[in-house]
Amino acid sequence: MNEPVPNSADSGPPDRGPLDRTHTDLLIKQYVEDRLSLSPEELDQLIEALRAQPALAIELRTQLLLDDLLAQKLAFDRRNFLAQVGQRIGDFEQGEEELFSQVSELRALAEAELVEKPQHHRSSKLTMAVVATLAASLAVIAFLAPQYWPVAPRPMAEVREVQGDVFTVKGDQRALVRVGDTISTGTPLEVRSGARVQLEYRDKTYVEFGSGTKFELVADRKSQAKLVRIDQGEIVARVKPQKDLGPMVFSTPHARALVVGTELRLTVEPEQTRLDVTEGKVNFERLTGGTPLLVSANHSGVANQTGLVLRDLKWPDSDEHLLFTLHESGIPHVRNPETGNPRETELEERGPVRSIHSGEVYALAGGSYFSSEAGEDLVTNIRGKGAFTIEAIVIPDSIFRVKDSRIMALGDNGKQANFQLLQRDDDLIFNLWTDGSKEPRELKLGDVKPDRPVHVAVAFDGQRLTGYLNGVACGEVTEIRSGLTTWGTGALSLGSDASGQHVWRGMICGLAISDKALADFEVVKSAGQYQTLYARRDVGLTWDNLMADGFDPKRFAAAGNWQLVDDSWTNDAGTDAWFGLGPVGLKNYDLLVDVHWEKGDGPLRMTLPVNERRGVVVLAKSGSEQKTSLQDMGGTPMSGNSVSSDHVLPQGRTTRLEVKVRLHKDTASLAVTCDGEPWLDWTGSPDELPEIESSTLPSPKKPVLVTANNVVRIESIKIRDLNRMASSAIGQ
Amino acid sequence: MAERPEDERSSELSSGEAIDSGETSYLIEPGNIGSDSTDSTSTEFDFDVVVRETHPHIRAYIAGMGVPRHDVDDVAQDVYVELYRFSDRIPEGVHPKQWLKGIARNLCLNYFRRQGRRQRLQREALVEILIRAEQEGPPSLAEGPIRRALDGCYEQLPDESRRLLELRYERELPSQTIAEMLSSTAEAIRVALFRIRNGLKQCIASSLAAEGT
Repeated sequence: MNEPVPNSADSGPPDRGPLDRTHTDLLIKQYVEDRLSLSPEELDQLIEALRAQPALAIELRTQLLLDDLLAQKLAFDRRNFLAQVGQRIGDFEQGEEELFSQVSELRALAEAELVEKPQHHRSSKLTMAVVATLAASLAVIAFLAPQYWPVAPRPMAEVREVQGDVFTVKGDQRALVRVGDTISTGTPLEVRSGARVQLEYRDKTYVEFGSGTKFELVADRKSQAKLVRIDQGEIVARVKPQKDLGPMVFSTPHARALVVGTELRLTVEPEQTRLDVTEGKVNFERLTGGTPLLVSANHSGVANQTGLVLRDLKWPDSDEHLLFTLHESGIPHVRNPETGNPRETELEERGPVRSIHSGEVYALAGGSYFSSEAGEDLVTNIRGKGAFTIEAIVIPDSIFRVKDSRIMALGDNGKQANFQLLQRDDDLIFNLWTDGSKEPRELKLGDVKPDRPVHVAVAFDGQRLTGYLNGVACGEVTEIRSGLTTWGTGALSLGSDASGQHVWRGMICGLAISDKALADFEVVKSAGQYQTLYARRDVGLTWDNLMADGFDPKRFAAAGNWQLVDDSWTNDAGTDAWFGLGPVGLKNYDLLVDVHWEKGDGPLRMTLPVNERRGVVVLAKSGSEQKTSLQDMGGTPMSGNSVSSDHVLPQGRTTRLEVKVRLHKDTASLAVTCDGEPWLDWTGSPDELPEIESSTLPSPKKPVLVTANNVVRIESIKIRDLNRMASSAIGQ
Repeated sequence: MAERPEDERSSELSSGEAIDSGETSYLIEPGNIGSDSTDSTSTEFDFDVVVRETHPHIRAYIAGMGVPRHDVDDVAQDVYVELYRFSDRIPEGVHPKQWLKGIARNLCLNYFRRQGRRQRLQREALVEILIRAEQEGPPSLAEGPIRRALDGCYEQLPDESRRLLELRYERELPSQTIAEMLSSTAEAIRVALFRIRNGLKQCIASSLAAEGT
């Protein structure tokens, strides 16, 4: 099968004998390439030759078969035959119904005519002619009509999420889109500035349309393949494998992206279309032709009037103006103001913090990160430029306990700073001190959801301070007339002020500070690139915050007279006090509890469902002889699988308990940490654990904190149910 | 154009059953080919399964009768619409694929009948020649998981050959354009494609034989 590609003009057909045979060979090859290419005379010659030499006919037929099989395999428009058949069947059925209906009406009309005007019987020949003409017309209609009937609107997708104003547009009329609406072909949609909408196709393909996007859903007439026409704006798509339908096509004024199954983002601007690919590969081609690009994961393609450009996708997009970033393999880098080059810098850990995902994500559980060196370099660099942009991807804290909690700050002494990014309830606030001002200029960025990642950007150009959430401008302070030349030297702190106060408990998933004010479109692009690269990872960092939607502890199964006190839930010291920490039916799950043990001698116990069994974690008090262990409810270490730890639960301050339960085939694991420190780690067969049914356990099928005889304040409860968690990174 | 011998026609007609679909009479050939997984004798069949299992063969079969490539799938879709409408008329014991081939043959003839007289006669003559070639030729490409075999053989091709096939079939470039791209001649490109297809045919035949098809 080693067939060379011809590279010379003399590679003629093989010599098989006389000249007419050679000519026949030429005809055969030409015919195989294009069945309509032969002249009538040549076709006659071919037929004659084939009749004379049946072996040639067999060879020709074999070539025709192979030619078609290769076309079936390789030609784009022939890969979706099954869907085309489905469509033809659908058209056939629709045509049958409509034709039947039309013919019935015409027949009824004709019958009525005949009844009402019997005198027409006299001109029976004329009537026959009319009827014959009518019948012939109907036959022609029956044959031709299905090809030319306008395509009826076809339901394509359902609205899953809407934020802000999204409209369907019909002429001058606009109708608001709501969750649950079905979007059909032929209906243009507009997403207003600051809004977004997520659609779900029947095959679980998700497409999210961002702020300012105008688009329309289309279905290929024959194959039903999904098409999306985007005039402007931004989309993020997670496309399921399209199998027989043919590729899903995103069409913009500049280009087409052909997607078989992948994750991607398209940004459509007036001058260009940009494609960022998260996963898989996407064929990207300009509408004006030319060689298409195959854009693979973590790459980006840009189509404009001059051509197609392929490049690596990264965040932050450019190093040119970068002063500080955490995204260099998890090692913080700051620009050395003396050399202008980036250098590694160290963030000092203060209190309960930890970095995850190769150090690129900073989880703050009551502590902070601190760097005098980074702070000084930043101050020097920014002072010199008089402008900056801070981009941070943060997962906010529970909203109830945050009062001006510092997400990050520069030179923050608790009262004054160079700048502060802080969370106040469910608002993000940015405070900027300029020359000679004792009070900061305050920029309100807007509401955020606890435990959902948000891209925050603040840009200062010397006069105007602009804030963005997820790439959308959401506030600005103008006419700032003083500069930054008198900024004082101070440390960079994450998660608290410089003295460790104003603690913020959340996560910083990305941070980049640059020495210029990014333009609106640059912020949009940057937010998009971050999401393309990291949104999926960040989904795994989000939680269901059980305290986010309300304060009523009665929503949770409980005993012990739990009450709301200072944004927390507190019990009395009854002998039967307990509190439900999550729903029933958890299998693979993470649990996070911020607990403040106020009174009592302990111990506290957490009962945790593990594959229809239960583990009981005993949390002992400092000074107690009883140590933390995995025990049965009677306080006795379980036979054969007793696990104990020397750790004790501190009193008088809030402690973060994190639980991780995993099932893998016949093995289960249970891990508990306290303020990020490993506390208890057990792996084994779930059969080793006690049966879940037990009269001594309250609500044994859900995680429970048993606080009997102790007074406890629960400040936060979060659950991550891995079995239910959607893998989608869109719309988080 | 020479008509097919009357005795051959009548023997073919008598060996099958004519179905009156309202517009066209379709010839049903007796089936003895049953290598596909579809139950050849059952009238209770899954339409989707039949389409899925037979469409590579039926489409190639239609192409093998000289229908231009861009019309092959349209004719093939008509074939399956007929199956959808008249599947209950497949005689017991006749394999659906065999029935489909009969439909395909008739629809191909209908297709050519729409053309001018001379062209029509020529095309009909070619159809007859090619049908005879099918009956006389080796059955290697008629049965079995041919697409899978093709996929496997395609993977074994040298890069240069695959590049040529991609230009021809994926980008649908004529040989003349390919020749200009590769500094060759259209005829040389056609010869190369011919040889590649021949190589694939042998590979597919071996592959199917190895699978016992």
